[in-house]
Amino acid sequence: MGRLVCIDPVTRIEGQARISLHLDDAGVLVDARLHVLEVRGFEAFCVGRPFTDMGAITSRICGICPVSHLLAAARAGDQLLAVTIPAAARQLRELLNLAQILQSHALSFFHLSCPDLLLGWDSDPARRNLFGLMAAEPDLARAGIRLRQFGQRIIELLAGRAIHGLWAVPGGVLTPLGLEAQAWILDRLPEARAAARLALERYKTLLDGPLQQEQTRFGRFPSLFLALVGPQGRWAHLDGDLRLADAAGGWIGEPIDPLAYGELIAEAVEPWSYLKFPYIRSLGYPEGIYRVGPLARLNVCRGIGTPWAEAELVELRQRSGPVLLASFAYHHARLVEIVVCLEAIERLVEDPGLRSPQVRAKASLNRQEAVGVSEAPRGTLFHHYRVDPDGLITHVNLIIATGQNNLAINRTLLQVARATIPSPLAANAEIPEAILNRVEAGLRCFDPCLSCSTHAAGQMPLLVQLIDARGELLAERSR
Amino acid sequence: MALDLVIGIGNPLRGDDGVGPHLAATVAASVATTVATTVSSPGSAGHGGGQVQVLVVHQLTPELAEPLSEARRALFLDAWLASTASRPCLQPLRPAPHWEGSSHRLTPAVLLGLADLLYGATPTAQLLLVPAFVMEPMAEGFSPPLRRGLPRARRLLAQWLASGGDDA
Repeated sequence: MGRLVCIDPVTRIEGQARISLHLDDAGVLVDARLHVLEVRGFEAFCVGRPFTDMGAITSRICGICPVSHLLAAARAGDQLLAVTIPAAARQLRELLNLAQILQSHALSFFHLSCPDLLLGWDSDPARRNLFGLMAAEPDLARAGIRLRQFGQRIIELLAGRAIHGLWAVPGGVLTPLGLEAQAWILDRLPEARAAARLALERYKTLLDGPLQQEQTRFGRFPSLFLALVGPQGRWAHLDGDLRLADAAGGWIGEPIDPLAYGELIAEAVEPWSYLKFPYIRSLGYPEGIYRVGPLARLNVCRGIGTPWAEAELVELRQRSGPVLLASFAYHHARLVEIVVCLEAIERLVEDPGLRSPQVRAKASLNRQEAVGVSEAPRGTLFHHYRVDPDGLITHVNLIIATGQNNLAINRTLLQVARATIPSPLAANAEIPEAILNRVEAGLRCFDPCLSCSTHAAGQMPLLVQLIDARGELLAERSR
Repeated sequence: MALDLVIGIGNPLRGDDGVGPHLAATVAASVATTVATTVSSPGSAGHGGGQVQVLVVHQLTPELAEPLSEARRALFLDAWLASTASRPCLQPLRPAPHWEGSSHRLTPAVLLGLADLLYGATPTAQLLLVPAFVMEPMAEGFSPPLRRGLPRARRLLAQWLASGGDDA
């Protein structure tokens, strides 16, 4: 008789989910599924609101990624006004997004993933948490705290508050960067650089030791990759061309017009999850699997353009291959992006143009459809709005990074489960917690934000279920 | 100069859950300082024999361990779902000696434990709990029973501020 293993709730991710592992009558693993259990329906209740409210409304989707939604909403608003925003506003939005990526990546690496990476998959689960990490590696923990603080403080300096600030608006931003804020950022940059260096050095010792196999094998499979790129194909996060790359790193076709995203991406649904399954339309479902986020951005770009990050990217590719195919490489990619963010923040803050008082273009409604695209920490974010002649929303579609990674997450879970769970699994055999933790870790590679991806509020515990070939629940473990 | 740290916890868009930030704002107004939303913000003001720093957060995060370790006293302001018979109360806090809950639900005691673990110092800390009755999403303002408890909550808060370290 087949079995179902459930991991429920999943821990150290943003949101609430369950993982189920499906075994056939012979005890062979045949499927692994991430079940996202929350739904809130922002797309429905935005209808009828003025488009100028969309930043305020959609940033409430999430407490981790409000900046990402604010910027995508503002960029869609720019298009509805049909304005080119002032150069200083563009730079200030970039600064905000860099700070957002920085603080989010610091949270993912130091707080959520380091317990696995540093304490070990097989360590005591009672100690495999932030508390245990801080006891074992206090210097690294303190550095992580300060680094995240740095990003959050920049957001607060720009937007007035660390969470749910409403400073980016259609046409630009509300205020320029003050002199005091500029001085504070420059003053704290050396410490932030030191924290990033410490994290990279520590992480590389793990890659040379206990995580040597994971960096190239954990969640490894070919897929397409989607990301923004800047001039000369450089790493980009806000302005740029939307590019699709294949599993060999080559660009596919021409840059994609955001307004035509529907020709590129279609969305499937499954009855067992509230999280949709975007896929590349031309390849069909589920063959049209693609990845977004740090791994994709580094695979799609032709270079970074800042010296330290460029060197780190070269080393990452030497370690993991010219194209990063293992989902585990998301962790290293996140650290490289922390470096990019620090270098780009320094470059921006030292630019005198950033303090120009011209930060907002004003116009009335000139278009009735727009797609705002930006790179959120977890990947490409689409805000698609249609409005009536009075600027009231008639249609909203939000395509979120974690949703776009949904197929890849499920593929990673299956691959990791197959690699770690004995096959065939004897009837009634216990699956050790350390093995289930490796499966969970497959999900954590993506740093999923389920609040964003289902536009729902939530918690993030973990459940694993064992299901037989007839779909009956045979065993369940949760924590 | 000794620092008193006041941390208001909650979301003003979830009805009674916003009472922590509301009370924190009254502290900030009474000592003429600003309310910060990140731990490295400036914004402390003199009050009695020391400085008062006021923070407002939706939830407790590890970043708060550092300013906690630098404070002489700390007061957490939070709502909790309660029966109508409950009244606001002050509770003493001790650092938790081990991990409790998840990384998404740090408690004040765990946070004090993190401050001790990482920075080797913790303040004398108390928790002002205010009974809450309605925590609906996208709701502003307080329920009538919570409003009835606000005068007592404000009195306890004022007493804590005035005590200057002579906490019960």
